[in-house]
Amino acid sequence: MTRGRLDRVTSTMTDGPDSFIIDDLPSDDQAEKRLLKAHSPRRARRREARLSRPIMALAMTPMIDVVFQLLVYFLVTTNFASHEEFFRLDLPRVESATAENEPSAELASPPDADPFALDREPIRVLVTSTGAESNDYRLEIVGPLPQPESFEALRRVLRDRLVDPQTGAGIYQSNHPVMLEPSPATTWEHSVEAFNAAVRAGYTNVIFQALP
Amino acid sequence: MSAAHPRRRRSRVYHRGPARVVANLTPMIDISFLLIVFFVLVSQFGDRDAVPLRLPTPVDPASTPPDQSGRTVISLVPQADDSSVIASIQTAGRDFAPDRAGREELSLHLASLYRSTPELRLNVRADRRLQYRFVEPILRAVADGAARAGTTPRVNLAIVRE
Repeated sequence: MTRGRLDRVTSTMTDGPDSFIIDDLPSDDQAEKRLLKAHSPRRARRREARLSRPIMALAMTPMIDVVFQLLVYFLVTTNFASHEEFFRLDLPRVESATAENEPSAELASPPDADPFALDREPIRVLVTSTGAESNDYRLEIVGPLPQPESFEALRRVLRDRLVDPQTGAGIYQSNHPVMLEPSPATTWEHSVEAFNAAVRAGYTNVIFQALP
Repeated sequence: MSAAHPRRRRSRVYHRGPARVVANLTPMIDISFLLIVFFVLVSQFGDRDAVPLRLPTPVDPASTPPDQSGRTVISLVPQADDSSVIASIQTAGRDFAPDRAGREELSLHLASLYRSTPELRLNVRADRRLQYRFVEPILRAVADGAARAGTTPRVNLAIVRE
């Protein structure tokens, strides 16, 4: 627009009085004045100073905040372990490290033993590996219980004997000891599978038998 | 006026004046996200002691995820050619022989840990093919170490959920 006015001002100066129609455009005079004013050194400096100011800028601070929040969030929350989980097992507490060959104090019946206490003989489960593969194992429950063919069957047998808190049916309380007796050559995988079956059945006192 | 023309013509390209310095955000965001991905992939928390082992993978395990309590990892590393036989016991950068002397040493080491942290839980990681006769003495050594410190031995048996 300014350029147009400039051209018109220039043409009126060169075309002569015939084309003197500048009266119809009263702004031309002002435009010329403005143009001259605009190119005065002081105005030009001020104008350049104004135009050199940034008009629009992205606010980087919140973006960096968010990026760092993300960084810290992933650092703290991610877990790169190979999805390891754990079975909690409290080992039997031994009185002293050198007491292995001495008679255990726990075996002697305490003097104030309740004569009507229920038998706390543990459920003994023998676990034997017959091969290296996952399906090569044999289970045996000592006592008059159905013999399980698999770890799933062992879980069902144990769960069916658990006292149901609603109906009261069942033989064993959930804290009844379940003793797993892997043979020396049983793989750790089968030992843990048996442990898992007993824990899944609802027993809270599952222990491994010590080898002789 | 003639001096003003060239300046105005140049400014027709940059209507608001000469080019201004602005920060280019794209590479910064690129680098930031690369950093995020890098840390997501490589960082390890508390699993520095995790020796690569083929842990047992029970079907439908009733296990619990790891908690943040004080813990030490004991890895029972099998022999390379026969994974049913133990090769070494590794814990917190230390190596113990799987014989009687090594287990005694382990027991003493654990006793000192139990004294400083009575609520310590030991994560026992054993290869799935390892025979029970090699695992049981370690559990006994743990119990012995806790007995020396007069505390209850608490153990986490590590498995992998498939």
